Amino acid sequence: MILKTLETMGPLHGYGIARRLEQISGDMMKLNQGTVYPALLRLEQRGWIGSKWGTSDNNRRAKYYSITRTGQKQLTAETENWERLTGMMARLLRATEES
Amino acid sequence: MAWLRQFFARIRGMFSSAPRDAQLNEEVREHLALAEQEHVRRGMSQDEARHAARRDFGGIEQVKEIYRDRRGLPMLENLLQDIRFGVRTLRKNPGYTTVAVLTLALGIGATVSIFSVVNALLLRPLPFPDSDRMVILQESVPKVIPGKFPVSALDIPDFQHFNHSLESMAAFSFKPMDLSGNGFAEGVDATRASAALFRILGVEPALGRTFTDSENNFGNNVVILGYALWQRRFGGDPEIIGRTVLLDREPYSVIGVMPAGFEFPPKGLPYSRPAQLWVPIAFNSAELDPSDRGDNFNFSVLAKLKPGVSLAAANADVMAAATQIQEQMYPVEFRDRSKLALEASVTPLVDLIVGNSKRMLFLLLGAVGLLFLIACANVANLALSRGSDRRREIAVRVALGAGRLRLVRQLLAESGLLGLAGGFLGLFAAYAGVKGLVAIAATVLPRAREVSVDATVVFFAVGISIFSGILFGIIPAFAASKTDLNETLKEGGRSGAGSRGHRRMCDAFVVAQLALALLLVTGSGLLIRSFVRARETSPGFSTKNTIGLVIALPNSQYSQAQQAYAFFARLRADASALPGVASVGFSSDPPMNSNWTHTFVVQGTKSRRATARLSIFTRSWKEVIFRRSAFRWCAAGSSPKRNHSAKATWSLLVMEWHGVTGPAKTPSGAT
Repeated sequence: MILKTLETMGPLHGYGIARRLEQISGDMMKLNQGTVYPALLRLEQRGWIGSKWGTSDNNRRAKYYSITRTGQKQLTAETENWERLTGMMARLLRATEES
Repeated sequence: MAWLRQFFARIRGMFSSAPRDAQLNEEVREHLALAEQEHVRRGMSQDEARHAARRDFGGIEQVKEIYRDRRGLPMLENLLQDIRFGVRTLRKNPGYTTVAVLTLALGIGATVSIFSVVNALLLRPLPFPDSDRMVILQESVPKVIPGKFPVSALDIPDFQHFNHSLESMAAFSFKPMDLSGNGFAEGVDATRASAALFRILGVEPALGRTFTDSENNFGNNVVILGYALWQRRFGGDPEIIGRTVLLDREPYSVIGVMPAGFEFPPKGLPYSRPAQLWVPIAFNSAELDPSDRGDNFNFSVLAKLKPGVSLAAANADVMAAATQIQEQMYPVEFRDRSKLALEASVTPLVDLIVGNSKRMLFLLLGAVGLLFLIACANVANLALSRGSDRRREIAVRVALGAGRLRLVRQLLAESGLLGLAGGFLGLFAAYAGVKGLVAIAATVLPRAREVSVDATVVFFAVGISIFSGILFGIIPAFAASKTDLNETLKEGGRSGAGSRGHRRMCDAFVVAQLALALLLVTGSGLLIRSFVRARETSPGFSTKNTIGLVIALPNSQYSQAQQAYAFFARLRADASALPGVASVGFSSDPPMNSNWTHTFVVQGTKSRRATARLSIFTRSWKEVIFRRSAFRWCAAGSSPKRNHSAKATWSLLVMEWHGVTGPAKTPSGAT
């Protein structure tokens, strides 16, 4: 989800990512915003996202995260995987209903 | 790939943690500031906004904790921390540390020393290329003579013809010779070798060349010198090639010098001795006499298996070849396999060399293994009693929230450190020990020169050190971590003597230690005792005031038996005339050292065939050594009497022989 966010929104700082995730999920996902940081760290360790220090809207130093090329590839793969899985589940459920 | 990248990122994360912490702090601060701003924009008061931002973020310290754990490798960080702490604790207890390290060093040092011998003899390949394919071909005649022995000269080319599993074969045979010509005459251990030998071994001479195939034939007087002999007798003369030396009073031309460290036949190989020089195999007419077939198994055969041929297949193949040789090549009267069956087998060269030392080595390894265990038990006991002193320290740490596993890990890190320190010291001890060991055992131990402390040994030492740390550390660590928090803290400063369970464990260690020590002492005591017994056992003759001398008469001047007889007669007369000499006798071999096996059946009995090692000696021999002899009956008459022989165990028969020209009477059936 973080990858998708970064792909659509471009480079973003941690707060931005956390807010965006909240917006997308609505109230379905009520997570502590802080949990985004360990997740970001893990993605960065895997080389799927990169980070750079920049200046935030209120002129303070902030760390901006952006997706890398490996991250793009990973996102594509995961998306396909997810779609395949959901497609399969959808068909399965439909078939069950019909019978 | 991703996990690998992650792993390296985490290793990087272990270092420079302070600036990274600062960065995280800054990031979190910025996060909170932004959130606060947004809340304010939506109409909250500054205070409310700050609280809301914090609430949304969740536990800041928790996040930081998770973040930090994920950044580095907490396992490794903890280990490093444990080790640092262990070093501090050990340094605070120099007495305990010294005793433990020295004890472990002793145990590990001894084990590593013996292991380096095992490593050199049994684990490392021989110092020849493709040595794993080198085998010794041996013949046997199981119905007549027990054991395996070298090969008859005429069978060698036949084996070459009939086998399908050997790539190449080379013959060699021990021959004592006398070397003279420049300076004093001396006896040397020579080896007759065919040209193929050096090709199979894959060694190049340091100087000159090795034999050519045409030099295998009789009459080519060329010699290759061993490095040591070349250095000692010829001063390492680089111009030695082409010079002539006298061997058995015949001129031989030096064609090569082998490199330093080259030893063949290797020490320990049966029926041979490490050569000081090599001469061509040059079978003489007597050795190639067809009537000698199936007898005079005098030539060792080194062979190289074809690549990919298993030992079992090669054995089956040479066995079939032996059958073919007997049935097709032997004189007609020897072809009946129901009476006498020629068999053959191949044995890896390395097995034959170290075969005799193997049991001794494993015995030694077992003994030092026991010593190692005793050392571990000893240190474990120390650690255990120290554990009861440390109960308060541990109780405090439990109270502060240290988990039991964490405590055990910490204590194990400490014992591991001790083990490694002991191992380090032990390795040095082993380094010195190996040198001493080699110096003592060089004359009896095959491959002694190759024994050294190499990478494998160091690896073994490190492994055994860590193992020892865990071995002696685990029980005390668990015992210490079981500390009852309430009881210990309530004792309030009193250092109690430890619980009953604790003491029972200490006792168990002492008992184990004592049992192991007893085993070791008993074992070594028995060994020493059997050694002493072996020394004290009377061989049936007295060696007191007796000196022996091995004489090899050169064939060139003593080809006729009469010449040899005349020589020995004169020697006896001259030696007897020496003041202080009581009597002089001659025999074919030093007592109990005969390699000459004969089979016989005693006349008038229908008993099975028996074999005996045979020595031949002159009548005066008995005056020299058979003074109080179990074998007096044998020396007294000219041939053993039947009723006496029946009492003998058939393991040793000594016959008297008049002179050196031929036996006076041959027991019937002798072959």
